[in-house]
Amino acid sequence: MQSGAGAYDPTIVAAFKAALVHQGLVVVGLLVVLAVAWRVLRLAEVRRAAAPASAQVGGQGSGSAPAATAAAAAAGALPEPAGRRFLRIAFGLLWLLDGVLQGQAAMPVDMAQKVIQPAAASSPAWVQHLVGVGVTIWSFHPVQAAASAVWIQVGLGVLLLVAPRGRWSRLAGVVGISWGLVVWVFGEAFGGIFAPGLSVLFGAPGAAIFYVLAGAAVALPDRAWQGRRLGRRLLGGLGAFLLAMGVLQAWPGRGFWTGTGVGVAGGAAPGPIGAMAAQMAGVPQPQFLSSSLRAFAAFAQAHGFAVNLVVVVALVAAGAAFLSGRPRPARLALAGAAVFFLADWILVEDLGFLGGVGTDPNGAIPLLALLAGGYKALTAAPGPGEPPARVEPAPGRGVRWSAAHGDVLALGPTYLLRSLAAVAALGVVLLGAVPMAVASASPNADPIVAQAVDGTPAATTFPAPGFHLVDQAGHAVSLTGLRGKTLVVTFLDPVCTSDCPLIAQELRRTDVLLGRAAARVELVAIDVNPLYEARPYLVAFDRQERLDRLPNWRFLTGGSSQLARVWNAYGIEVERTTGGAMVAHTDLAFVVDARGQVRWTLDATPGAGTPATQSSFAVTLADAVRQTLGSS
Amino acid sequence: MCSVVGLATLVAGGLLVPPAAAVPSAGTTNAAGQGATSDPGRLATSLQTAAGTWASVPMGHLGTRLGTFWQLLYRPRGGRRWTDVVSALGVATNGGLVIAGSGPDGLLAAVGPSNLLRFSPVAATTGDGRSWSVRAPLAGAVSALADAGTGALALSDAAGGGRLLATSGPTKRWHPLATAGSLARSVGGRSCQPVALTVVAYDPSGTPLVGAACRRPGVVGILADEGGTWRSVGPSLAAGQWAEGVSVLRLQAAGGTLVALLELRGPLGSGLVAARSGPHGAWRLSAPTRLGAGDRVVSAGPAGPEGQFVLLRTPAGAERLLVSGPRLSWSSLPRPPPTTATVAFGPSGAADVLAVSGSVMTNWALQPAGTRWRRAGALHVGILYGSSA
Repeated sequence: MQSGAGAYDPTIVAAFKAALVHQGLVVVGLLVVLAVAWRVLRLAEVRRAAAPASAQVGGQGSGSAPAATAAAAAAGALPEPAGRRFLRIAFGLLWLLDGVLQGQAAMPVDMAQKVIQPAAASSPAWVQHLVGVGVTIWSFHPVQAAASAVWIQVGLGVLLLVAPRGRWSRLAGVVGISWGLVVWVFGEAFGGIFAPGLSVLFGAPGAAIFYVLAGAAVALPDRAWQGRRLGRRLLGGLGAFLLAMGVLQAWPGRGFWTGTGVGVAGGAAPGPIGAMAAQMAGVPQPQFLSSSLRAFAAFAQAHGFAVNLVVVVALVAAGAAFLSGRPRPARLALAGAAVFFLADWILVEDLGFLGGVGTDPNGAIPLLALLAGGYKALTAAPGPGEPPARVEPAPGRGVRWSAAHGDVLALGPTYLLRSLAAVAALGVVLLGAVPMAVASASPNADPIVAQAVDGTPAATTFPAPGFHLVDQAGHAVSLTGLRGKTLVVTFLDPVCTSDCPLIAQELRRTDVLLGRAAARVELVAIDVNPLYEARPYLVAFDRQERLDRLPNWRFLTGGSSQLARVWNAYGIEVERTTGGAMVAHTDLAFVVDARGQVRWTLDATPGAGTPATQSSFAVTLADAVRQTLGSS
Repeated sequence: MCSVVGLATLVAGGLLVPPAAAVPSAGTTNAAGQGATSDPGRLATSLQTAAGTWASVPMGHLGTRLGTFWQLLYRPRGGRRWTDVVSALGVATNGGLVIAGSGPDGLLAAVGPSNLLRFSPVAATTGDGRSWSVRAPLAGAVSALADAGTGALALSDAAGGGRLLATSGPTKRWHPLATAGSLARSVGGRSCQPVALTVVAYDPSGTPLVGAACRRPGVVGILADEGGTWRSVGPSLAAGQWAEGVSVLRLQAAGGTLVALLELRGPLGSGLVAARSGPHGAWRLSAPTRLGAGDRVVSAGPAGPEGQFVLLRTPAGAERLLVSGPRLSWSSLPRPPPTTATVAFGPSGAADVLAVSGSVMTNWALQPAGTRWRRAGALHVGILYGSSA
């Protein structure tokens, strides 16, 4: 399913940029408000610090640490665990990068048809159906969806970076889980785990699932990070995953052991690894990158067995080392995994974010980040029997996050700043999420989709040219006889094979959108085929398009000269074409008010005729009709 | 009833037909297996009227449905040049074109549905096709047409083997006349048990006829509507050699008789038989001409007043052109040029093959000696690729 517009359609690109700018201004406004709030709170804190000792809460002296600081010092504040810190900052930066990538101009149109749909192409029908829901939402609201993805991911990234501890930080982890799951299901079709040809080299089981795991780790309570158990479990789980991927890679009959396979026409074709590298080489990118990919593709084709052997050994060895849970083997495995997955990232995954629709750096980088985070959690945490490190909070610098309770004014500028920054970041996430949720609830596409194909409706005021014709039931119909009703007048070919059936469906949809107001509207189509003017053809068309069930539908015809006069009057060009093609005619729709004045002229060209363009045109036409009804 | 000579010839021919591999077929099949024909409704063909010669051929990008545009070509009697008149039909022809003679100098044409059009427009013309009048549309896809002036017959696709429709006049709607199922229950259809309706025609007296592929082996399914009762009027074949069934590929009234083209399938392969009805319903049959394994009928039509032609394409892509004359014996014409779509025979029996490459139709005339084809002309058709998308 597509939106129906071109990837770089100027209307949609301009609307996307405008949406980002407008929403960016909202973000700036939010930052300004929060900056003012921070300033006010800071001034209040300074004044209180300068007040006499008896007037202060907790009895703190001027310039000394707040009471909470002392309490925290007495309790022994703990630094953020190194593993958690690493994961939080790494995935904060990754989400930030992904948000920026989501702002590429082609995203509104190409995301659905070049990223989401292909991801599910080889998956079972139920996965495609599920992904189809996401595709529909995106193609119906391309600008909103693309802008939302930008702000959600940017906000999430900032939230992870500015909130090192406490509830805000754990909330960032939860948001990361939620959004990561949305991306994994609807954007990555479950990472392709239900499709054939699964391989960690190609990004299985989907980069988003690594983001979800990182979010889950960040969302854990502090006590989970005490000791080495979490690190051991994290590395153990990832080690088991790598081991399984190694077994899968080694599995006979999957084609990975040979550099070549059998092509569609029976000739030799590259094996899976070479084929993927060759395919990625075709993505628009700097020459030196594509050359490297092609060279690797050729190498993999010539030495398929050796390449796969290296892959299998690397995966199994690393997996076993991580599973051991011991720091030294894990360190060696981490170094090896870094080399291996960086090579995979460059030579097979092609960095992941090139080509104009790259949404993230693919799976190798987040997997490496998880491994590194797990290693830090294993080695930086105190071992069994070792006391946890304690840090004395610096005087006047505000208490550490772990003891940030009670009097917020006593907590110092750093905490205040971070709190306000976290509020801002969460606001940015909501700025993306809420409008998209609202848009998703609507079954109708945004008008921008139709505008990209047909332009905006033209407001006009001129008398509608008259006509005296006969409808599909043989009743005489004239423009004068229809006074008092708002009309949608268009021109359809009853034996058309493409545009006219689509336009007919758009008119049906418009009728549904009008609801009760449809009783005041007549949908009038005038036959535009010079040969097929007989009523049986109108009836056949009506049955084909289920228009015979609409009480306010009229398909009009007449003699050749009668029809030609009406075509000319409405500016409809009709041409018999050569070589077995359809009759060519102008696709226009006119909205005529109850007094017989044309109030709107719309280009009715259906374009690709996708559900999104049809829905969008129906919305646009219904809006024009409602405006006309309202002014009548 | 077959003549003794014809029956003996059939027996001998059946023994000589080699085993045939499964032959791909896009359309009409019988219950016992697939035949060598493409969908009869999508076969290129030609026919002769008093005004001139008509041909329907697919042109354009033949590998894609919306890139293929069927053309209606016309050459006036005595003329040498072909013209393209399909634009007069006013409808996209990606779905195929079925034509039938209408009266002495008229033509009836139905355009197959394609893309979002799901019914078949029908139009008629007389003379050279400059002006057309529409007939009532047909539901579904049309695979065969016949016109008797006072009425017309059509076959449209339907689940269960096809539907026979009739109209009693140019302005009248089509009404259902029979289906494969109803014919199987009729007096004349019980012996055949039609599984698919393949052709329609009128006999010289104006009786509606329908041809079918029969489930019963060795039975030729030609049924006549005699006042609402369907009777079998086809030839009889000796059972045994054609255990896999018989399909009627063509049926036409010619020179006061009925001419039919039959495809016979047996354990030893497939063959084509030309048949002509004689007095009192007696039929004469040609010896079967053997079809090679994988041979496909590309086109079939009349060859002169009482003859028939069949254009075959072998799996290797070579063409074979067979002609059966008034005496029903088969003969091969010189191998036609590659990409030949159909053959048009003039009133004097002169043959033109129409070869198609993209949007160019080249016609080749048979040299007087009958040994080779000579390029006679070319027609460039202005095909609007992408117009139907």
